[in-house]
Amino acid sequence: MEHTNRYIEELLEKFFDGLTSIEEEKTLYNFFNTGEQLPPHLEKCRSLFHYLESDMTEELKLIFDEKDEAMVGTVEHSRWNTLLIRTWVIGVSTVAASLFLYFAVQPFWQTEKFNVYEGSYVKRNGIVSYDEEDVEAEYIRLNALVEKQIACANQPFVEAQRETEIRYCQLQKPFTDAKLQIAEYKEIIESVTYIMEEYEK
Amino acid sequence: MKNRLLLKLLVATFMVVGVGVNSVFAQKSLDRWVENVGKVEGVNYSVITKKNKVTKKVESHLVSIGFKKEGNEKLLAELISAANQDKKDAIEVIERKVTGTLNPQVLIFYEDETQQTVTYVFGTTGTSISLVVTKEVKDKKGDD
Repeated sequence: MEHTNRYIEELLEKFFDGLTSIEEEKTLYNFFNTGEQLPPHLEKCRSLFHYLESDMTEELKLIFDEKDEAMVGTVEHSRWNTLLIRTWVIGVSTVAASLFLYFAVQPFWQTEKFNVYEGSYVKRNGIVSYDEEDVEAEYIRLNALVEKQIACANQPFVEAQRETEIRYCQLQKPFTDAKLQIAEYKEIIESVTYIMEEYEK
Repeated sequence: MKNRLLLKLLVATFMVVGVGVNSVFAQKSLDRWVENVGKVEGVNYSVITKKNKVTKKVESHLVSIGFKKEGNEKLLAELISAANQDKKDAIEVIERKVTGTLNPQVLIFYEDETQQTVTYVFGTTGTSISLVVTKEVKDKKGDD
């Protein structure tokens, strides 16, 4: 036996007090790992060291490995999920923004693009212009001209109509005056009749 | 009996066609003059068709003609002649007597089929003559 039982007992005491060095712990593990016949009080500790050396370490290793794997998996999974969500959010936002812009801008874009004078032209002094501004200016000018000329052409009729109305009123005046006079006389007669009747009573 | 029915049908057809032709070609002489004058050199000629921005339908059609009296006496005579020919079909005629001659100022026609009014406005400014033809295009449904 390399180490005396006494020395092992001392090391055990130190081990349970947590004062052993790595070297001393190795000594203990090696001692209990030999498979030699030990005194009963030391034999009890064999299973403990055996457990500590093999089963527990294996178990702990296994637990830590599983935990690590699970953790790595979880981290990987959550990373993937985040990336997927981000991609979705960015994609949906882009599509929504594009649609909004398209529908918001489309009417203005269309009205700007649509030429209301399409196919129209102005020919002046032998020069033909299809320019929208030229055509619009000519359209406004011509409309004003037409309005003015129609008003001018109608002027004699308007004047004649006004004159007729004035003359008609002048001609009607004696009749209107006479009618008013008759109404006045009627009122007087009625009031005189009423007074006479009252007096007779 | 059969011949009488045939004759009635023939008369009815002529009447219907006659009314249609009359309304469509109420201002045929003026239309023809306007069409031909566009090809004459030295005549200012503008054709403007205005569409509605929203409905994109034609709102109004306008033709403007302008030329100098000098050197275009024949053209002017033809215009007055065409106006005098068509004025009997107009719904409104305004004329003006200048130096003993009765000249048209405004002629307004109504087209039954299209329910549109076509206005011819004649103008004289010093040495030049102008004619503006306006056609207001109305929507038949009345939702213009």
